[in-house]
Amino acid sequence: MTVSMEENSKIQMLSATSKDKKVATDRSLLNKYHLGPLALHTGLVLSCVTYALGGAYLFLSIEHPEELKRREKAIREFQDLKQQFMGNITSGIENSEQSIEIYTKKLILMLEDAHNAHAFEYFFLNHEIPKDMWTFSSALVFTTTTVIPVGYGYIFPVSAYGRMCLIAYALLGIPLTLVTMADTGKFAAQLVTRWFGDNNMAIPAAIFVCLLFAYPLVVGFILCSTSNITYLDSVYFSLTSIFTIGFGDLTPDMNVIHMVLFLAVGVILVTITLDIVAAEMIDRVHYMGRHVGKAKELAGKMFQLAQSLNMKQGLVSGVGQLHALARFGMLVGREEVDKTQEDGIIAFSPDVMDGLEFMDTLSIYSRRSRRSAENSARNLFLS
Amino acid sequence: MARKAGGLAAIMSGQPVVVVKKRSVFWRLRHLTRQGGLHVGLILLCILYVHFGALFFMYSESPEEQRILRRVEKRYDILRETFLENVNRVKLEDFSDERRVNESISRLIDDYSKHMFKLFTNPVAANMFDCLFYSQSNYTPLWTTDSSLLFTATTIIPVGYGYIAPLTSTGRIVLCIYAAFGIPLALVMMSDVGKFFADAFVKFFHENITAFMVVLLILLVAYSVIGGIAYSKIVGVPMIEGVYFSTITIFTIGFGDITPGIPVYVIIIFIVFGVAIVTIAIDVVAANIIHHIHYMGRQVGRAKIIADKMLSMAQKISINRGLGLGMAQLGAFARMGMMINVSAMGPQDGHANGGVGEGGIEMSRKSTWRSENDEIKTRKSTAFEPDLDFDMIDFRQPSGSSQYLYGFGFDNNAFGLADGQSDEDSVFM
Repeated sequence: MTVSMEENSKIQMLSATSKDKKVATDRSLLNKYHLGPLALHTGLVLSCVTYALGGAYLFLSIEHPEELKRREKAIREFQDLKQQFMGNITSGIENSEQSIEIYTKKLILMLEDAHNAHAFEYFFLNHEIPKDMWTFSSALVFTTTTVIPVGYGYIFPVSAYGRMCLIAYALLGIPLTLVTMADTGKFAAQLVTRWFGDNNMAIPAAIFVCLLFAYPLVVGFILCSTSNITYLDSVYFSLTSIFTIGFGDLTPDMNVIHMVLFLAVGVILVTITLDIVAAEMIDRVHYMGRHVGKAKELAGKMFQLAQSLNMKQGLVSGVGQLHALARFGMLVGREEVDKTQEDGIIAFSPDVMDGLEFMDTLSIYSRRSRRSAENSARNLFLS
Repeated sequence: MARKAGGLAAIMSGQPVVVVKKRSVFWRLRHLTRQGGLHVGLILLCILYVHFGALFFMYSESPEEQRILRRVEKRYDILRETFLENVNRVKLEDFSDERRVNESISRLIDDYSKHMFKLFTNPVAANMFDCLFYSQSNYTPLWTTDSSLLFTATTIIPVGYGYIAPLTSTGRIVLCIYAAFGIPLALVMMSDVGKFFADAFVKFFHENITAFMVVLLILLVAYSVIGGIAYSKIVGVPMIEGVYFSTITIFTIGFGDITPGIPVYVIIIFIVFGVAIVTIAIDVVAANIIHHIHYMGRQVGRAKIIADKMLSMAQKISINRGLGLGMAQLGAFARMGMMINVSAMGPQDGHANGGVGEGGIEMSRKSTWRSENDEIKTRKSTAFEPDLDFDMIDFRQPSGSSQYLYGFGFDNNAFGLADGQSDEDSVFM
């Protein structure tokens, strides 16, 4: 059995060595051109944009024929209703009040449908060429507000096939978009953290919270100056948009590109702020009463240590160091179990270990232990 | 093998003794109360926030609704009376010319329809007409207890159907503040609840993250489909519409194009659990993906994975052993961090020479001879020999004691796990 274990260890060490060589070669190429990470992040953003544009084209091709069909049906129904009402009035057979009640009831029933209301609005009120609900611009706003799950509901698919496509589209598109936004937001968080928060996270958190509350006010001001709604309504609209509530009760006149950029930047800002502020809160609340938070902090410190060692000394040594870290972790766990069982003095351990732990923490804090957004092990993407 | 079995038997026999000594019923109850109190308090705080918000918006928006209702009723009566008078006048004046009568009546009907349409764009008016024609003149307000509750719940879980929305300036200002504070509260609450389920699942799958991800995705799709089927059965609509509504709901898109005909509390419970599942699924799956993507090319993801492993290991030890051993464990972690830090900062040449000397001394040990040869080969193939030498110094000193002969197996396991992670990282590169 011992010989077999030795053989197994030897094989694993050899395979690790060959992997280290291969990865070192790849890394030298990547370092030479500095293109790997940048290409990947840019590819993610481009795939997200392509997904939205492709979805817009898809839903436009599905729903536009349906819209035309329903519009013709709506106009025909309305004309029939009008002719019937006119016949009742001119013939004088029934009471006029009863006729108008029936007419109003049927008219309201027709207007319940969004397509009928839209056709009626542009055909009868404005006497213009009918304006389409599903244009490429409106379809793009629709797909964007679907994958950033705002969901205004200005337009939505009504055909069964369109709804099935939307289910699949949302299931695939929302995680893709959230990953892209969180990835972009993480870069921004790292920049701000490196610039301001070298010692603590309070300053970056405060900066992001102030930005989060200033953003709807600034966008509200821009919106009310360029659109047809008041400042309060603009702030209300922008805040319900970037928090992805999206009631859809206001329809400001806005360029599609501006709308998309506004939503993307706003939701990224919300994601960053929740990542820095709320994720820490979630971890503290979740692990309250179980004393795992300290372990998490220490694990974060070890993570920073490993990161700095890795960056200083390069790939191979970093990998060896990490293996050593893992091995030491297992050994120390083993050691403490044995020690506690042998001593049997359980009632007095907390006091002694409390003192030692305090000394060690003080020693660690005396060094420059940097803390970054990477310490938040869990990213919060709900929105 | 015999000694290993003895070690495991010692561990397993020792644990009940510790449990019997330390954990009385009172201690267990106090522990559970302290653990669960904050979580239950958070859930109750969220429930109270939703209910008080519902009460506020109902009392804030109802007077405005009543005022608009009276205005719309008056305007509707005026429109109808005016239309009837005009029709009668047209009939009397132009009785001889039938074509002119038809044209005039047609124009009157168009004007009437136009004004009705403008009235209908107001949500209060639309609700009034619905009640007038479908409920036999029994008016149901927009802002009832149920609708307000659904409104506040779908605001802080940011679904946002838009069935009803505040119309007054006061309501909109309060909604901005209410959402800004309520949404983080709801997210914290749902993530906190979701993490418990995630922890249970991780233990159930023996920390196989891939299987956990697959099960989460299947659970997500199944929840959406089953919710949709249940909705279609209850309300009596096609199944595709039910699945569509549930998908739009749990992903918090919330178009608001379908009005559900089921009780409000059922919808809210469905939304809470659905959004929690979505949160955990995106947290686990997308977080893993984003870690690999974001740290691509910088070799930090692997360190993070190992740090998470240490975190989970510390978490398990802390939970299993209780307070005292947990604190000891934390102290040990801190000391280990300091040890490695000091060794990294030390002078390299002196340690290199010392390392070689100690290597020579250890050459006589039979159990480590082959590892030593492999280590020598590794040194020749790399340019960072002194640092690896530091690692071996740190590793070899504790193994001198006879107590750590059992730990040698753990060493192999740790090495295997690290290699497994190396495979995963290589794939992503």
